[in-house]
Amino acid sequence: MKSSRIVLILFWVVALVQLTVATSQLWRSEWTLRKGKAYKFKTAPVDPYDAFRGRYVALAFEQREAPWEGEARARRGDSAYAVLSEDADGFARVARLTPERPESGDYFRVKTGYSSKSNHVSFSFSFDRFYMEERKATEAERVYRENSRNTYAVVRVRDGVGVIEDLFVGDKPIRELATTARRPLP
Amino acid sequence: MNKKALRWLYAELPTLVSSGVVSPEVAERIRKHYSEPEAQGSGRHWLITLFAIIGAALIGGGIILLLAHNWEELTRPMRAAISVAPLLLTQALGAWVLWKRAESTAWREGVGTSLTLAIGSSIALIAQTYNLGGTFPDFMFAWTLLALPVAYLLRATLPALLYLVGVTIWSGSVMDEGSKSLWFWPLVGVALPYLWMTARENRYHPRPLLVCWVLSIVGAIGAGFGAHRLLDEFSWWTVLFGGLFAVWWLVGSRWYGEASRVWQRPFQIVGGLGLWVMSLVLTFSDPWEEVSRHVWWGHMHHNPAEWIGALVWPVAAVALWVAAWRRREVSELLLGAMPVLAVIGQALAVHDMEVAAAVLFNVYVLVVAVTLIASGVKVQRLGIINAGMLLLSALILCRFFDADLGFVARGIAFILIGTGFLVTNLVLLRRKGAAQ
Repeated sequence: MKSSRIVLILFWVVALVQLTVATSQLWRSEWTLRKGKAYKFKTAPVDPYDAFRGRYVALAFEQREAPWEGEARARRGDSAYAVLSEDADGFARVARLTPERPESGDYFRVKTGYSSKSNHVSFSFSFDRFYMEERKATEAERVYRENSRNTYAVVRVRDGVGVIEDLFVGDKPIRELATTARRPLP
Repeated sequence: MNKKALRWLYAELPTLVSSGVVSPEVAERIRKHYSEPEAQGSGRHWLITLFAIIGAALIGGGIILLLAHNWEELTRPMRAAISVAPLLLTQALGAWVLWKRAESTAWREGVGTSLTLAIGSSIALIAQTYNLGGTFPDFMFAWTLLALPVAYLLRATLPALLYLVGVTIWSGSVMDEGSKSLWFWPLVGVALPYLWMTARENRYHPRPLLVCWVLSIVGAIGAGFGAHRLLDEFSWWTVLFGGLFAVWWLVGSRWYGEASRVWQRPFQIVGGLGLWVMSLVLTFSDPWEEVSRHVWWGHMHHNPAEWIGALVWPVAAVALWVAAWRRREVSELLLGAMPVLAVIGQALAVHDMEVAAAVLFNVYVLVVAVTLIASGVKVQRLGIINAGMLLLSALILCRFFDADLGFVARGIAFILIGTGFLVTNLVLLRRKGAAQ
């Protein structure tokens, strides 16, 4: 009887750990979406074969490298912070990459890639997909590909976390375009 | 009825009869009273468990598919709540099962399976709701590790099997990340106490046997993942897999030697078949030519853990072989010696004696087959004789395909071997019948 009570208590502890780990991303993302500042990131065309995955639009971003501000050279696959700024048109730019957590401004974590001669380092965002309803995803992918010079993602940023809020083609959310495109033309 | 108490009662009955406490008739009536209802119910009991697992898996899968549709009509917080709901629900069910239905295998297995699936679906659906990136190996790693305690606490076997398959998939997905795949072994290690827990009372029970079957298969796959960089460079697969299958074979013969059915010998079957197939492949000279193009040792610049992960198998096989020596089971020892021959073959091949290596394995397979047939005849076991004949025919057919022979010659060989099989079986069956 006593051992079965211990098993039950252990089960609740395990359940709590499972819940905490599984939902840790949920709280952080929801908090970021509610309180974070919105940045517009220009996206780039993606390889069409790689892009079609059925349920989401695969994203690539226009900016692929930024100046490196670390004492040691950046190693491939390391984690770094991307410090953000905005250009004259209101689009976001990664102003610099640094290995230490910046003390001010908006930033989020990225993975570093190769270093170039001019002390620039390539990087990859932690977010690279935009999920949609399964029937719309294929259509959305087509719309996105055909207008890929004119697309951007709105990313909310706070406390080192970046979460995609929406994907725009021109000035319209891709969800709306994917719906209207399915209607027969008059 | 408590099984332990029953076992105690059965052990006690002969003493009670001999000391005159109960009469032999009463003892027989007691046995009938307890054993028969259990024997009748046990088939149905397994069927119910099976249906509980299938039902749980189907419902769980259905819910995941429904949610994966990514309903846009729902608000984001609502979708987030729905993503967590299956996890919360199955956790609550798990606690209820532990509280009220702890003795029901069907409940424990069914709820354990759905809880395992719910953990994965919650992580995946939250990632989908918030458009999180994340890599597949990280997802598999978190899922499998979070799900393993379910197997232990609910004493459920299917979650343990899912765990073993999960860590194998994870190990395969990190193959290009240096020697990370080697973490497969510690990850399998943390599931071994579960095997011990279930095998402690009766190692021939379906529960530990199922774990052993899955373990013997994923173990061979995981060993390949962990050593793939060494294998690419040195072509050591003969020694690595020869060692691994020999360990399976010898471990099985040692700890599962008294099994009465074929399905009760997981390690022997997987190990034995692995050794057979490998030995037959090595009777051809092409694999040895491939070996001879590689270096014997090369540069030792690999992670020491990779070397250990690969060499531990042949070393353990030799140790087990020496331990098996005192039992003097010729067929057991012969098959278990395969990794030693692989090392010799490897040495011959790198010194440009590929044909000698292939000849060595031809002789080896022939000796194994003939020994099997002879020992089968000695103990009058048709199964062993047929196994030996199967191996012998496979060897002959391999040589026929090797040599550039026409269809007529091959056809005649097939007919001769088939006739041999039929005649031997007929003769032996008739002899057995006459003896009885």
